[in-house]
Amino acid sequence: MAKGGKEIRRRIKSVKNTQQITKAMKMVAAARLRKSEGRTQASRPYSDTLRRVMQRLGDVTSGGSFEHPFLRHIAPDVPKVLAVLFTSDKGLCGSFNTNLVRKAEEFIRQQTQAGRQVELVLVGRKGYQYFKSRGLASGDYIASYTHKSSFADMKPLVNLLTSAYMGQQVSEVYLIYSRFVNVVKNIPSVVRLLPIEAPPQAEASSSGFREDVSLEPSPEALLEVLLPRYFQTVLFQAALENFTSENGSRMVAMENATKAAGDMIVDLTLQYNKARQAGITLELLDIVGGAEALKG
Amino acid sequence: MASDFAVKVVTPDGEVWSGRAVSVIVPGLDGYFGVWQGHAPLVAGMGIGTLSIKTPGEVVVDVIAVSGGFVEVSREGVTILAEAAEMGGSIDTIRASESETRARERLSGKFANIDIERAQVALRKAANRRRAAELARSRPTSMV
Repeated sequence: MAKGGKEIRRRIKSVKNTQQITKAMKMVAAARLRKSEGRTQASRPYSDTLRRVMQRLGDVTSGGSFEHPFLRHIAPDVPKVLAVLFTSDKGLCGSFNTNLVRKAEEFIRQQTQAGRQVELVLVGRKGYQYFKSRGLASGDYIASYTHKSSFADMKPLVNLLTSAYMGQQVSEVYLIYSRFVNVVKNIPSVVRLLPIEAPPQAEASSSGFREDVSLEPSPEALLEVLLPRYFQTVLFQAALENFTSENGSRMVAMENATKAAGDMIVDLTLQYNKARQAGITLELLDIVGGAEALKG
Repeated sequence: MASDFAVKVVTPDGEVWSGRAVSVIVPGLDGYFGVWQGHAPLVAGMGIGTLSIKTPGEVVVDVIAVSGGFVEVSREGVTILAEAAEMGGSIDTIRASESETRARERLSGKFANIDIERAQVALRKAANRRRAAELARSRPTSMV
C-alpha cells in the first residue's frame, strides 16, 4: 500500500470526531436558544405592561413639575459615561464577541472625541479578556447571564449602575449588547439606559377622549417605584437577548463547522481511496512484471 | 352572580396567574384594597403582601404572595405587575416558616454589621410567604 494511507485514515477519524463534537455543540446551542427565546417571551407581558403604565404616567405627569433623577441628566458636566458591555463567557460562536468588542471600541472612540471618558462594566469573560489584555479593564467581570438567570440575579449589576449614576460619578449609562433579529442575524447595538428616554407619548387616544386614570398613592410615589423597575427590565431584556444572540451565533458557527468537516471527510476519503488504488496497481504491476520476467 | 373580568399576574420571569375573577384584593402601598367589576381606571403601587383572587363559579380563592409592583386597572381588566409572585399553594409552609425564623434571628442582632433595612425587608418577605402558604391551605383553592 502506498505511503500515507494509514495517515489519511487517521486524519479521517480525527475529523469525524471533531464533526461529532461540533454537531453536539450545535444541538446544545439550539436547545439553549429555544429556552432563552422562551424566557424572553415569558417576560414580554411584564415589560409591555410596564411600558404602557409608564406611558399613562407620562400622560398624566407631562407638563407637570415632577422630575425624577432617572429622567433627566443629574450630572451633565461629568466627563465620564458608563457602558455595560455584554459578551459571552464561552467562545466558539463565530464573530459574535468580535463584533461586540468592535462596537464597544467604536463607542469609546466616539465618546473620546466628544471629550468624555468611558468606564466599562464587563459582563461576560470574552469581552473582559479582550479589554484586560489592552489594559482597559479594571477589576473583575460579571459572569454572563444565561437562560437560567432570574430577575434577582441582576441585582448586583443594577446596584452598581444605580450607585454610579446617582453618585454622579458618570453622566450617562449605556448598554452594548447584541440585538436578536433571527438565528442567523443579530446586531450589536448601543442603547442609552440612564437617563431613561421616555417612551413616546400615547397618541391623543384613538377614541378621542383621555381616560381619567387615578393614581395611587400619588404620581410621584408611583414614578419613584416604577422608574427603577423599568430600567431594570430594560437591562434584563438586554441580557436575555444577548444570550439568545450568542446561541444563535454559536448554532450557525457550529453548523458551518459540521459542514466543513463533512466536506473534509469526503475529500480525505477520496484521497485515501486513490492512495489505496495506487497501492494495488503498484502491487499488480510487480506481480505482472515478475511473471513476465519468469516467462522471458 | 357578580360579573367577572380578566385578571393577569405577571412577573419578569413569566406569567403566574391568568384567568377570570369576580374580585381581587390587592396589597396596595397604603393598605389592602379590593377591585370588583366596574372599577374606575387606576394605577396603584403594590407593597409586600398577599393577593387574593376570587374566581367565578365555585367559591375559590387563590392566594398569591407578592412583593412590590403595580396594579393596573383598565377597561380590559386587571393586570398585576409583581417583582416576584408565588402561588400560596406551592409554597412549602415548613420551609417558609424556617426562613422566617432565620430572618428574625438575623435582625435580633446575633450577627454584627448587617444592613438593617434589607434584613427587615427580607423578614417581611419571609413572613408574607409563610402567611400566604397558610392562607392558601386554610381556604379552598383551584388547582393551578
